[in-house]
Amino acid sequence: MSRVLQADIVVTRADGRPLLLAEVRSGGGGGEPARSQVDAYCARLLPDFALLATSSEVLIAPVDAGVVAWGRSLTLPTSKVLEAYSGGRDLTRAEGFYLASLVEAWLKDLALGWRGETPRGSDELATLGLRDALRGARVTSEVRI
Amino acid sequence: LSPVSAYVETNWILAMVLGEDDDAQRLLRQPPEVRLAIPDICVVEAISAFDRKRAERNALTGLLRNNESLVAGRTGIASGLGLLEGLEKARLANDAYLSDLYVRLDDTLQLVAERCDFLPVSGTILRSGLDLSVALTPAGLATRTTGSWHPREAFDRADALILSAIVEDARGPAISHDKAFLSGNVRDFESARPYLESFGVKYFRRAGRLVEWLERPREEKG
Repeated sequence: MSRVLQADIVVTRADGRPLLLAEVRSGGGGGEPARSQVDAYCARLLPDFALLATSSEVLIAPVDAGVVAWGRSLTLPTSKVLEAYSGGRDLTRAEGFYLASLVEAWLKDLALGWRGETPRGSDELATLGLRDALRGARVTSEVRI
Repeated sequence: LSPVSAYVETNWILAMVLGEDDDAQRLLRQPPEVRLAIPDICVVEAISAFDRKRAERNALTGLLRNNESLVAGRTGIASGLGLLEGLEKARLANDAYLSDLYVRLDDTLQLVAERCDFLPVSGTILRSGLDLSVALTPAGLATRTTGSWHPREAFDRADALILSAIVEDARGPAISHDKAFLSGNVRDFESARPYLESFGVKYFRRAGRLVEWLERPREEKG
């Protein structure tokens, strides 16, 4: 029997296909163990993109048939990308659940435009083809995969 | 200043983290003659208390997320988008508050670690704690560790361990000190006032009153 895995955030397209899988680690927890976990989750879920966020950076990489292409990843500074949602607070000591909450808010903003302003990182995501794909997508937290 | 042992418990830590009592922090700034002592299980209790707060806040987060999902498909309506924005901001504020509490908890525990003596649980303390927590007859209590005093009702097991750890210290390492116990948890601890006083431990409900008492000369401590 396969082990139950739980992703921090999963974004699905309108037709239900998984678009993006996101994992969040507080502090400097974005090293090899976190990447390996994202690799394992993506191998099971088969999304089009993977995201790994820490308190310092957000990595977004395309996923090809369940394999994360970390070599083609885009890196964004966490504090800048999430500033509109955190009120500019220092995220160095933020708990993992709060960091995940901020990433969730950002992804929902990209999907639904709830703030009425262009979310940070939109142009960069467009280079990966992710910005348009996120429009209207559904963002769900703590998802069993 | 003559040596004083001031005993504190879980609620002192919680008051500092939650910012409920400005005087709670003043205890940390007392001179070295004032020995602050806390049963070590209180640290675990304080951490557990915040895990319970996390469960409470998670319940609110869940409620907000459910409502977000209900309006997420209706963002073409201006008021629907406004409602979604309000729900998102509430969820973020809720999570930010909880994250801040954990940061404050860590900072407070750091200060506690630097300033306090920790009273460990031993077999003796565990046994006397059980005497306080198990519903014994007054006669049974009188023959065991609590002397002539008996509680009106059995103590919660953790509270009983806290009391026992304090009494064990009060009649041991701190026997020659002036002694005081601070607990804002009147419901659980005030009934132990006679028991504590029989070991020379004065009970205080408020940190401010304890600080005033600590700053008095020994002959005025009463």
